[in-house]
Amino acid sequence: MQSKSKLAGALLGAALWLAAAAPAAGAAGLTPRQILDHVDDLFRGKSSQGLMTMTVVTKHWQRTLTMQWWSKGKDRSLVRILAPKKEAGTATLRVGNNVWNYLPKVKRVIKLPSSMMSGSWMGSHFTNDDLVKESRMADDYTFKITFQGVRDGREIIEITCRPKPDAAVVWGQVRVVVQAGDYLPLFMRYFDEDLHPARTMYFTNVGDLGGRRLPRTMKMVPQDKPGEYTLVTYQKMRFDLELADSVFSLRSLRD
Amino acid sequence: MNTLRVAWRNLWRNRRRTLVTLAAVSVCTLILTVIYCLMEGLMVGAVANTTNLSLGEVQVYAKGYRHDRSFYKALKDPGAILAAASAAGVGAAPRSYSFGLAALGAKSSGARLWGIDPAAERAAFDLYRHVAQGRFLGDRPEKAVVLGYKLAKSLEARVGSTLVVVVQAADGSLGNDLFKVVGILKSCGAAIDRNAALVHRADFAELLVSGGRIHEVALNSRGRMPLEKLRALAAAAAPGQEVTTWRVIMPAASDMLNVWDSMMWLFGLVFILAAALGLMNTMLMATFERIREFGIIRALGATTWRILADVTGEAMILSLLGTGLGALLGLAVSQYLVVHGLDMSSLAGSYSVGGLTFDPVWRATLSLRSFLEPVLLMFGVCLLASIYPAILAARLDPVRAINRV
Amino acid sequence: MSTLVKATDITKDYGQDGVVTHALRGVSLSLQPGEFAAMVGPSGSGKSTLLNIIGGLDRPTSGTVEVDGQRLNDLGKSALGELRRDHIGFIFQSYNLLPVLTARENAEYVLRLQGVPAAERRRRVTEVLAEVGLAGMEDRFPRQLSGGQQQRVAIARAVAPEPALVLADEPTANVDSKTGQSLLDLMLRLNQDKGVTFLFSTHDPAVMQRARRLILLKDGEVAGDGEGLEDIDGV
Repeated sequence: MQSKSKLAGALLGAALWLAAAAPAAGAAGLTPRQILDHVDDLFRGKSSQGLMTMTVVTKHWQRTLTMQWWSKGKDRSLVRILAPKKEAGTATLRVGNNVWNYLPKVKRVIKLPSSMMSGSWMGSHFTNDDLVKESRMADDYTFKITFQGVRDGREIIEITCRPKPDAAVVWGQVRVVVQAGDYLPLFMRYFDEDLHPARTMYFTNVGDLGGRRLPRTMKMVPQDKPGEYTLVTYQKMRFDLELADSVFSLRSLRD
Repeated sequence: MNTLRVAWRNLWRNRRRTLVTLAAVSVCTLILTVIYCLMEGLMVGAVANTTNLSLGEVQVYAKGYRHDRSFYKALKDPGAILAAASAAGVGAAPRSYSFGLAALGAKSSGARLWGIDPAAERAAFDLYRHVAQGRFLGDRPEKAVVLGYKLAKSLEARVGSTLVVVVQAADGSLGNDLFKVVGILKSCGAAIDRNAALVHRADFAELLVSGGRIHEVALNSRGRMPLEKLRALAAAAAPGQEVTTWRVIMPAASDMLNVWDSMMWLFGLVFILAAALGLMNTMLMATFERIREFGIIRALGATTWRILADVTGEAMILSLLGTGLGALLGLAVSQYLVVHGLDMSSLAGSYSVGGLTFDPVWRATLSLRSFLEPVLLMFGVCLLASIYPAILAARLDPVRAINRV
Repeated sequence: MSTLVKATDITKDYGQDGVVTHALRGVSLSLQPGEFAAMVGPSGSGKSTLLNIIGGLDRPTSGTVEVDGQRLNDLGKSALGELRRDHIGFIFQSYNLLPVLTARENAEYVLRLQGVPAAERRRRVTEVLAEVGLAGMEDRFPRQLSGGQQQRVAIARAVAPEPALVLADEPTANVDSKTGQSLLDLMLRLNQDKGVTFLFSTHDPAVMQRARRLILLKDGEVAGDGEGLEDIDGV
C-alpha cells in the first residue's frame, strides 16, 4: 500500500476533476492562466456522477476495477467499487482533506492517517493526495508558456509551472501540454525536486462525456517503474445533477 | 630447573624492590582485567540486548530487499537457511514484512506488519519476553496481533481491542481483516515501538495473499558462534542472497563498539606499559648491581645466551608472579562483578546510545577475550621489557665488568 | 711436553681522548706445563693486562698468544669463551663468588657450563671442596664464609674442571697474611700433587718467595725472569 506512488490519487483525481463544469474553451488567445484554469475546470461541475474503469498494471500483477463515483463542489467525493466481486462495495469518501475507506469484508470504516496520504490509492499509480487536491494549478504555481507551435505533427502549447515558494506541493515542476485551439490537455508531466521526470499523465480518447467534449481516457505512467501504468477510462458521466449532502456521509459510505 | 632457582634467589636479594615491582605488576593486571571484563560485559550486554531482542546476529535477505523493502523480493529457499541453522544449533526466525494501515475506531496509523513464526521467535529471540500487557502470539494462527507500544498508544489500543488492518495484497487487491490485540510490547527500540504489528505468519500470508513469502531469516546464536562463522554458515545456505550482520544493520552501534575496542586497547596499553616499564627498571637496577657478577661468569665461559636466560628468567618469575597474582585477584573481582554487577540505576536507568540499549546493572563478562588476553599480554610485554636489560648484561665486556666495584 | 703458554711480542695500547697508553710494549713469555709462576711488578706495570690477554679476556694490540696449542688471535668471541671454560681456571682478587650460590654451586659452576652430568659434578666438587679444606661447608653461602674460605671456593671452582692453566690475579691481596700463606700452601699442593699450572700476578712477598718462577714486569716490558728474587733486579 505504501510505496505505490501516485497512482491511487489519479483515480480519485480523475473523479474530482470530473466534478467541475468548465466553460468551453473555444476562444482564441487564452492567457496561460486561463489555459490552466480551463484544464482544471474540464472535469469540474457543481456536481457530477459517473462510471469508470481503472486498470492497474504493475510488474507483479494487473487488475481492472469498475467504479462508480459521485462528487459535489470541489471538496466532496465518493467512489465505490462495483467489480471485481471480491472488492465490490469497497468505497472511498473524501470530504475536504479527509479520506475514509469502507471495507465491506470487515464492515468497517477507517480513516486514512495523514501519514498515508502520499501512499497509493487502491494499488494504483495515483496517491491519496491526488484525490484530495482541490486547489488550482494557477494558484500554486508560477507559470509561463515555454513552447508554442507544432510538435510531433500537432499544434500545441506547453506551459511550464514552478511551485510558488510557500505552496504545499510535492513537485519541483509540472509541464502542461495542451492542444492549440481547443486547449484540451494532451499530457501533464510531473518533475521531482531535482527536476527529474517522475510521472506523466496522458489524456486521450477525446469524445462526448455528459455533454462535454473531453478526453475520456487518462493514463498515469510512473517514470521509475518501467512497464507500469494506471489507465482510467470514463464510461458514463453526468454533470450538475442534484446530489444530497447525505451522499457524502460516513453512513452512505457503508451502503 | 637450576636457572630458575638461581633466578629466584637473585630476585629476593632486594626484597623490597621485588615486592614493590610485584605489587605494581599485580595491581596493573588486576585493574586491567577488571576493567576489560567490565567493558566486555558492557559491550556484550549491549550487543546481546540488541541482537537477542529480534535483530539477530546475522540476517538473510533476498538481493536488493534491504534497498527498497519490496514485498516481492522474498527469500528463495528460506527452508534451507532454517535447516542449516537448526543443524548448527543456532536459533533462526523467518519473518515476512509488509507496510499497512491499522485502524481502531476513529484512529488509524501506518504500521509495519511482521508475519512471524511465534515458536521460532520464542526459541531464538527475547522479544516474546518484552510484553508489557497481555501476552505474546500463540503458536497457532488466531487473527491476533501484538503491537509496539507507541503504535498501540497512537491507536489507543488495549489488549482486547479489535484492529482493522489494511494492506495492499500481493495480487494488488486491498487486503483487510480484523485482528484482536492480544499483547502490547514494552519499549524495544524506536523501530519496533513506533510501528511494529506482529501477527502469525499464517495470518499474514492470508491477509497479504503472500503465498508464504519470507523476507528475512534472522539467526541468533546468542554469542555462541563467532559472527564471521555464523555469517559464513548463512551465506552457504543462501547462495546469491544477501547476508548481513548486526554490525551492518546497526553501523553506528558497530562503529561505537569498534571505537570502544580501540580505546580499550589504548587504555590497556597504558597499564601494560606502566607495569612493563616498572619491571624493566627493576631489572635494569638488578643488572647494574651485578655487573661484576656478570663479568665473572663471562670470564668463566658463560655464553651470552646463558646470561640472557639468567636475566629473562628472573623477569619471567617476576612477571609470572605479578600477573598471576593480579590475575587471581582480577578473577575474583570480575567474578563478583559477573554475578552482582554494578548497580547504575541510581545514575541512569536503562539507557540507550547509538541504538544500543544498556542494562541498569552493569555486569562484567569473563571470557578468553576479556580476561586471558590482557593477562597474557601483560605477561608477554613484561617479559619483552626484560630483554633490554638482559641484552645489556649479555654484552658486558668481562674485563671492564670485573674491574668495576 | 709442549709449551703451554706462548706469548710473543705482545703490545697493548689503550687509547682514550687521543692519549695513547702503552700498557704492554712487546712482551714475550712462555710457560711450561706444571709451572708455578708469579708475575710481579709495580702497579700499572701491565701484569693484569698480560694476565687478561693470556686468559682470553682481552686481545693484544699486536703479537700472538697461544694457549694449550690454540692461537687466541684466531678465535672469535664465543670460541674464546669456550677456551676459557674448558682450558683455563680463573681466580680473581676478591668477590669471586656469586652470592646467591652455595659453596658447592659456585664450585661446580664451570662444570655446569661444560654440561657435566649432575652426579659426576657432585662427586668431583665434593672431592675438590674436601681438598681445599671445606668439607662440610658445601651448602654455605659466600656470606657465611670467611674471606679465606671464599677464596678456597674460588680455587676449587678454578681447579674442579681440571684446566690446563689457572690464572690468579692477586689471589691473596684481600686476606690476612696467615690466610694468604694457607691459600698459597693449597695452591702449591695442587701444583705438586696434581700438576696444575699456575700463573699469578701478585704484590705479596710471600707469594714471590714461594713461586718457582718470577717474572718481573716494568713499564709494560719484561724486566726480569728467573727462579728467585735474587735472579731479578729491581724488585
